[in-house]
Amino acid sequence: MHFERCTVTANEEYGPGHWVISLRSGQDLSGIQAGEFLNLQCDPEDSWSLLRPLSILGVDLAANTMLVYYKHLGRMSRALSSVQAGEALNVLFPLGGRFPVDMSHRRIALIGGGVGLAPLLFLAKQLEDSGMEIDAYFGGASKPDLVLRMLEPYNCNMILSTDDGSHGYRGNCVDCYFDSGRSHDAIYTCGPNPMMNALKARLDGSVPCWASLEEYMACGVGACLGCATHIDNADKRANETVCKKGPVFDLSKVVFHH
Amino acid sequence: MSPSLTTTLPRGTILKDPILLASGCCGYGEEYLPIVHPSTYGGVITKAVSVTPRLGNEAPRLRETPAGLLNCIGLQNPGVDVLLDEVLPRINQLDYSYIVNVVGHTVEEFAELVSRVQRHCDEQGQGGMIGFELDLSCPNVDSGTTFATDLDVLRAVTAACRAETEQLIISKMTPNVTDMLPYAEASRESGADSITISNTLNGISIDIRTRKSNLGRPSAGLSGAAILPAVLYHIWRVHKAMKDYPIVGCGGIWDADSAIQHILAGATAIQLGTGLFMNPKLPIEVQQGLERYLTEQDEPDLDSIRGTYEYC
Ligand SMILES: Cc1cc2nc3c(=O)[nH]c(=O)nc-3n(C[C@H](O)[C@H](O)[C@H](O)COP(=O)(O)OP(=O)(O)OC[C@H]3O[C@@H](n4cnc5c(N)ncnc54)[C@H](O)[C@@H]3O)c2cc1C
Ligand SMILES: Cc1cc2nc3c(=O)[nH]c(=O)nc-3n(C[C@H](O)[C@H](O)[C@H](O)COP(=O)(O)O)c2cc1C
Ligand code: FES
Repeated sequence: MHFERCTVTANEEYGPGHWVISLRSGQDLSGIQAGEFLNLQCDPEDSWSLLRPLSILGVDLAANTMLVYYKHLGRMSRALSSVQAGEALNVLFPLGGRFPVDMSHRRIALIGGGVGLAPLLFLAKQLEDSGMEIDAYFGGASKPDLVLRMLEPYNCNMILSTDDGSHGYRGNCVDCYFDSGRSHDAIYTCGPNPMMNALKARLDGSVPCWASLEEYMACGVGACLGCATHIDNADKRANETVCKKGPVFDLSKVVFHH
Repeated sequence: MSPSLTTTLPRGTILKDPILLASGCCGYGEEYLPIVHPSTYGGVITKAVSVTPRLGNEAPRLRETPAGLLNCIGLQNPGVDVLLDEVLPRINQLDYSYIVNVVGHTVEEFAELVSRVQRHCDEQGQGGMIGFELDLSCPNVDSGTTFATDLDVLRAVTAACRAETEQLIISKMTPNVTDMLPYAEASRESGADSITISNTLNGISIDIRTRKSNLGRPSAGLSGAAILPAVLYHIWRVHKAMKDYPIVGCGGIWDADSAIQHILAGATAIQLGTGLFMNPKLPIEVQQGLERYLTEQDEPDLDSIRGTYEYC
């Protein structure tokens, strides 16, 4: 884990309110894994606001940068889009654990909604030479929400859906997945809680499924217990930290409350 | 000669510098270890421990406010058995000083916790343990108020804990009182060696669309830079009246300047809490800032600046 002032090398808008920022580090980034996230200062002049947790979308080893996708949501994500290349931001990274991958699996599904596409695209990238067949069911409210898929070529079958039907399947990515009728050795998912809760209910434990969760965070390192989420472990309830024990959990054990 | 940050608390407690990490903001000290090792500064105060494990509150447990943070963690902790059997043996290997923060629902529970941790030290060795902090801000089951706002229970709980140990006891005060002085006096009279000023301020955050709380509880505790002036006021007020009673300042420290303000108001040691979330290197920045300040001011040590705030 490092706390470093990283230089912003690029910060670009790919679609309305959808941004990708590159952060150059002085550390060795080769060990960073899909599922891990970072805590980012979003305004170089602001020392009073919490760092924001954002998934790592990719790592460019040649440039030694980490890529992060963010969507305009509130105060800090808007502030972040004013940051110019050449400015520096404090970054705490890498945080949390990776998506577990069983290399004997032949076909996996990625089911992502909204900003949840980011860690899944990183997973697709990391598995591109694995020989696995990857079906990516990505959904958004409308076509611009799916802009991230075009960031670079990804070696997976993208099955896209939009709530408003402006692109691909009309409906959400969970319905799209079940309507496709395809079967998989494992599923990886990230997105809004209601979406993952619906997936959990419909899967009912039939396929191993790893979910990357989001929760309000402060420290990002397991020190404040602010991000605890309800996990059922062998009928014993536990409140586990999303930042340290997660963010990736076995979906069948996650109990969604909000 | 470079100035000295060495800090002395009662019962022979000597800290490398006045910097401690606040309870609940640093786990058991291990989480921040890869960034700054706690052996390089004063030490850490562990997450509040209770007699039995507590699951804590439902999410959301956090809400950011202007320059502040509301939390309703709900004292999630694995209970004293796990602390003694697993946590303390583990952190005793890590070569840093720590204070054990305890929380009970009754006077008897506080005393039991202190007694059990003390017995553990007697039998297994002291390790890095340097004392106790009593988290008196939680609701008292017997009286219905918090321990820290009822002078009689405050005296009873402090005396009961004092009877169980010869080690340093620091009572942690609540800032949710108009005048902290009577509570500080009661702490001293009943055997607390020092007081922490303070815990979080009461606060709420409302979702205007639903008219419900933005948190998992109706109210929560406010911390961070937003509370600095309020905490400084309490430190100054108590120090002015009780000059020889050591105060551990806690609340709103986010840089060296705010840490120095705590000491000028009267604090002997200081705690860093929410400020760590924005800047995990804060202990080192405060340490360097204190040294720089003493050098610039041509002062030999912290004793020479403590409580020197001049208000007129
Ligand atoms: C592990 C993790 C990975 C994440 N990865 C990404 C990512 O790759 N890209 C991305 O755009 N966002 C991601 N997020 C969410 C991101 O942290 C928030 O969108 C961001 O903090 C919003 O900050 P803001 O100041 O813009 O919004 P705020 O003003 O803080 O909030 C705006 C709205 O968003 C809600 N909100 C804010 N943070 C959270 C949260 N953590 N959980 C639920 N609701 C929240 C608030 O209630 C409010 O309604 C991730 C969160 C976590 C925990
Ligand atoms: C997430 C969080 C958890 C906390 N848990 C505890 C606790 O278990 N026991 C305690 O005495 N204080 C606890 N506190 C209060 C802090 O120790 C400290 O008194 C308060 O946050 C004010 O300091 P700050 O402004 O530097 O954060 C907690 C504070 C936060 C933010
Ligand atoms: S954010 Fe502090 S424990 Fe997860």
